[in-house]
Amino acid sequence: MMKFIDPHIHCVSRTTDDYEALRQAGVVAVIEPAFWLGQPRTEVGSFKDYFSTLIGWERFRASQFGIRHYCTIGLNSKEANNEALAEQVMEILPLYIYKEGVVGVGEIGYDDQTALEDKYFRLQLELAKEANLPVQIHTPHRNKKVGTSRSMDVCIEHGIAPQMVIIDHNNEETVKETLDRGFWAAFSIYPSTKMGNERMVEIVKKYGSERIFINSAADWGISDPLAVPKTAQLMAERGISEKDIHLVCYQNAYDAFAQSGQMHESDFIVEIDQSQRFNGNSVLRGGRDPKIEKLDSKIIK
Amino acid sequence: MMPTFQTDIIEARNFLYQLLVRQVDEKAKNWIEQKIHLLANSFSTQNFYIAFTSAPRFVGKQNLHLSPMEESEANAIRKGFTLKNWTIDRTTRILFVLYLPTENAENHVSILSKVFQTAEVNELVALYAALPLLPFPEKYIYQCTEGIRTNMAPVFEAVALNNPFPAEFLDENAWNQLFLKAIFTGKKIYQIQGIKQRANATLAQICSDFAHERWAAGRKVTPELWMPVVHFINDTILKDLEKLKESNDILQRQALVLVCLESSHAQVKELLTGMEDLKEKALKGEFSWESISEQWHEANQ
Repeated sequence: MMKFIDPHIHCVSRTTDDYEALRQAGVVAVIEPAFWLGQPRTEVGSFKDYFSTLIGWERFRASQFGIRHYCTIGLNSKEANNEALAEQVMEILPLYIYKEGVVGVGEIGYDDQTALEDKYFRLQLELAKEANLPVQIHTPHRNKKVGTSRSMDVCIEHGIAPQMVIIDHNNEETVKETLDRGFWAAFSIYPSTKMGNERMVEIVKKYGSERIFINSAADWGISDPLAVPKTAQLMAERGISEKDIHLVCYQNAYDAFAQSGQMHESDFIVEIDQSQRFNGNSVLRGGRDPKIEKLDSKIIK
Repeated sequence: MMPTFQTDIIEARNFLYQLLVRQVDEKAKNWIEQKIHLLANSFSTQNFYIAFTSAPRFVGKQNLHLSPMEESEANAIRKGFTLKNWTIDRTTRILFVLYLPTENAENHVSILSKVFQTAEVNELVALYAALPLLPFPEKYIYQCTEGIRTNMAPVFEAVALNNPFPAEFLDENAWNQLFLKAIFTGKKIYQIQGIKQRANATLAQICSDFAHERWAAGRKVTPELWMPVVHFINDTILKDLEKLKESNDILQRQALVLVCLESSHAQVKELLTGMEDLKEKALKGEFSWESISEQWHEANQ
């Protein structure tokens, strides 16, 4: 069975059914970027508790299902627009980015591309540079092409090597420049607003598998946590080689984030055994049968 | 008035340091020495925080090995102190905790509370395992109860199992909560320290109620549940014990025999009639709460 990494998924918004389905589909590790919660936070304490959740409770929750949970920590672009709050968040970030299992600074970048977003993006690039951590960059939904180019320009300006930067949410319009400039090109297979996976197959056919990888970006919106394994299956059916699928759905994401020194393949739990206990807790508590989502509807439009 | 110190901190430092340097490589040894030198001579919260958080990257996460002599040495340094299942990184972190300034309780608590609040899973395990070595123990009682409230299995285990702090410092209510939560979450109960000393009538009744609830639901009850009832027999508990005598499960009958042997209650003693063979074996030490616990967990994983 193939194994997968989903290098962008907001597990705090997902259920245990999702965790069971992920593990069943072969996902052995996930990376959860710090993001906003669907509505703005008003206190720095909310950020602190959220970051603590990412390195504490959520990490444990995933482990119960045999999934290694990592995260990236950062101030997202939307909430960077509240300057008073952003200042306080910047103060607590150093408490978190050096933690075990924090594999990058993210997801940061531009949303509306305001002056404040720019300010905190740059400050966090400096933080990443100092900690020698990869940067996971959220590219904007609106005015995307310009926002993506600008994100890369600013990284270069701050002296950050392209191989330490993951440009996320790419599409047909941004991928070429991202690859040409030597950055990692990540794609979010997310229904309606980001990439569909049939389009993703075409991108891999056209650009190959070097420095390209995919994620689900599944969160509190209508999204699909199984986007990575489903897309892998679709790629196989449409003639993409197993080697390329492995690179796009596992190895490239690993190589990009393992640069943090905080992610080790040897920590993954590879053998799937339904009776196995993870961290002392049975996955199948109370004698329940596992709920396994079928992979029969694998097209994500 | 509670004591200010639970142990001679200098002695505890030396002990942990010796254990570590015996097992880590030269590079890790140098790193540890450099950090303790820094903390001893120019302590700052920042220095402490960085050393504590980054320890696993420099010392690794292998298991800590202890000789039987070192185990008894641990107990001499602090009664009940055991390093069972400790790792190198945890030991290193706790060594650093012992370098916090101890002139002022408020300062000590303020530094460590911040670490508790922003800790990831392995850091929490280290912090709670350090409880029996901390100065100003009465200031950490609330934190101990917070650890009991956790949902993260490894964190709960660090507080509740192989740790002398709870039995010595928790009030009755909190102690009972610890015991019942350990039962409820399927821990090996013999690893809780001080069960006999802290047994009380309320807990005995809670255990009986718990058994009734489980029996009513057609669920199994661990024989470990009866450990604290010995000196608090009432009519209900006597009936519960009679029920154990009828059990098909040898472990339930073994548990009953241990209760009967420890009890001075005439009607409880009478229950031994017809169980002479088990009584014989118990007196010869062929089974114990520990063996019952181990076998129960083996059979009911």
